[in-house]
Amino acid sequence: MILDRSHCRWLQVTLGILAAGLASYAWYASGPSGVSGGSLPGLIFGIVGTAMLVFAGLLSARRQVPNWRIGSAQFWLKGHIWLGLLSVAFILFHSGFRLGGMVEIGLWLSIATIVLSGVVGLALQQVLPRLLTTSVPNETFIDQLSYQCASMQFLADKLVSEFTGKIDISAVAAIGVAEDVARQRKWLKRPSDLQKIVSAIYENAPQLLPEEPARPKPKPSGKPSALLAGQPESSPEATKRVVIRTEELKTFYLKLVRPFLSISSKRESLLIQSERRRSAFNQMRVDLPSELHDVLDQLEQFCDQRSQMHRLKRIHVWLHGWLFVHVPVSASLLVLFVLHIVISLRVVPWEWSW
Amino acid sequence: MGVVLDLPRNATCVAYDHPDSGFHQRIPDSRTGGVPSRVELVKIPQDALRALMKSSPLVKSSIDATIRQRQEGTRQQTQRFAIDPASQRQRTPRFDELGLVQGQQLMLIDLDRCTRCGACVDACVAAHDDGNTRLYLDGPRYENYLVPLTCRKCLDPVCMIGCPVGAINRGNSGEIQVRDWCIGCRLCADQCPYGSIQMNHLSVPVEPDEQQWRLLGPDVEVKAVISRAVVCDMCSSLPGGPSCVYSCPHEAAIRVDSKGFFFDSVEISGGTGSLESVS
Repeated sequence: MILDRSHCRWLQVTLGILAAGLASYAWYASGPSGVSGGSLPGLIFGIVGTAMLVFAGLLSARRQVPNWRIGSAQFWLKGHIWLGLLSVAFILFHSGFRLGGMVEIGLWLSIATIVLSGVVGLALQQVLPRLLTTSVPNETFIDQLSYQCASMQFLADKLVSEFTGKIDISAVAAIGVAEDVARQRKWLKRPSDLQKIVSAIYENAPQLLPEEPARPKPKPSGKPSALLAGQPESSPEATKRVVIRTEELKTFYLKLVRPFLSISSKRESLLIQSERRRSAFNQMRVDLPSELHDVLDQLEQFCDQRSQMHRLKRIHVWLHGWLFVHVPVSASLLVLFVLHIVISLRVVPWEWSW
Repeated sequence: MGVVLDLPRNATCVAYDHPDSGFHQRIPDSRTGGVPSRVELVKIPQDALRALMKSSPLVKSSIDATIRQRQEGTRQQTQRFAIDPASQRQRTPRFDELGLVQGQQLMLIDLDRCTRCGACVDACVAAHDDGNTRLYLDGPRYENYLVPLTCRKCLDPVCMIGCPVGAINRGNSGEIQVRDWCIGCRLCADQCPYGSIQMNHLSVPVEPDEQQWRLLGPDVEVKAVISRAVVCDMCSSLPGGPSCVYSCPHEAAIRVDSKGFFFDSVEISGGTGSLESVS
């Protein structure tokens, strides 16, 4: 929720109610009986403050019924913010600015935590959405991260295997999304195409479809598939050089790039920082022949996307993490309130004095 | 009227029709073989209309009022575009490329405000009995807005062209609606240039009932309907506008007339959350 001019009216109303509350408190506190939560004015302050807190707390209940036309979500959130803040003042008036017993101290601590976490959350919301927009241009749903990672792994596996030959790894996640990715890219002309694609990438590819009758297979040549697929014919020495180099590419990919593309990759990875990533890929460009530079470019793009996803996740944690404090403490506040009411009812002599 | 008087276009396409072959038979679509939906146009000769207006003061006053209302609307629109400096903003190639000009109720997510809480999608799911969302938070960005995959209520809705069973048309508020006799051929989904129509798999395929089988006869081959097109209906059955906008607590989800919004700063819907908006 961005704090802008649309909050002006809420701010005015809040300040108006606060001024009225302060004036009432000043009159009540200057009376002969002094301040007490059990007196009628004290109880009224308490009830008003509690009502405001209850309204603020109802925001989460309102989210459960998005189609009830009981005021827009914006209205409820603004009410949550401003009345939530205002309730603190009224509860202070109720208590006469005293801490009270153990339960009351618990209440104060809860209220302080809720207000503080809420203010922090609000402050973060002024900055982080904009940061997310600018620093993660290829943003995706947070729930889609594992799918996106698996898709990138599958595409990268396919790309690398076209040059280095089949990859001997267990690629459950990547194979899981293979059909989706292949369909989106219109690679599937026939039902058997998926099996062919997967078998061309992975050494121990699982059987995705019922096995077809065996056909005579072309004799494997032992050469890397890129050389078979239209790379210019060269001398045996040059071929040997590229074969050795593709092994280097394969190692670089399997040791560094592929683990980084996975959903479980760590933020400590060498490839997460753009400068270190660029330097690692530049080093590989120096080491590998120019025929493999296109692959490196594409792998670097995948790594850049994965790095953005790390950033996305980190910003999401900040953007929503404060709720892990705000919401449970709000729930505990409710329990403490009930306790406070029960205890107070037993203590209050029910002879109200002004 | 806009064409005749050389004024800005403010009409919108409500239905598509195709020429009749002359034998009371609609011309089947070349790709699907389906017969296009039927659109009926009532043509009233000018003389007859004038005679009617002359004989009935009530009809005359009603028509005059409509004419005045439309002329006033057009005049205001012309004036707004002529004097507002914001209207001097040029349409960028990107604006055209994304087809934003089509959007009469274009959905935009202000990415500077959006906390990615997903309340809009949850509200969309909750607003429909089938439990399917009509809103996908994916799509191109324009300025600081995400243009999500959902119906934008196009001026010229090509999705409506050629539905073999006439199951897609405009509702009373101009929203695109897919009727429950959709056969799931996915023609509309393929034709929508913005990916706003989704095909949703039916958990229980729809087959003809006993009476329909009897009507069809034993020799007819019938395929069960296994999926149906789903499109945003702008929550037209609910008060307060689209649920996605109503449920966005951060004022990030808005529905706008794209031309008015980007060139004239006019917003169609998207509450402000002000105290007044509740009443």
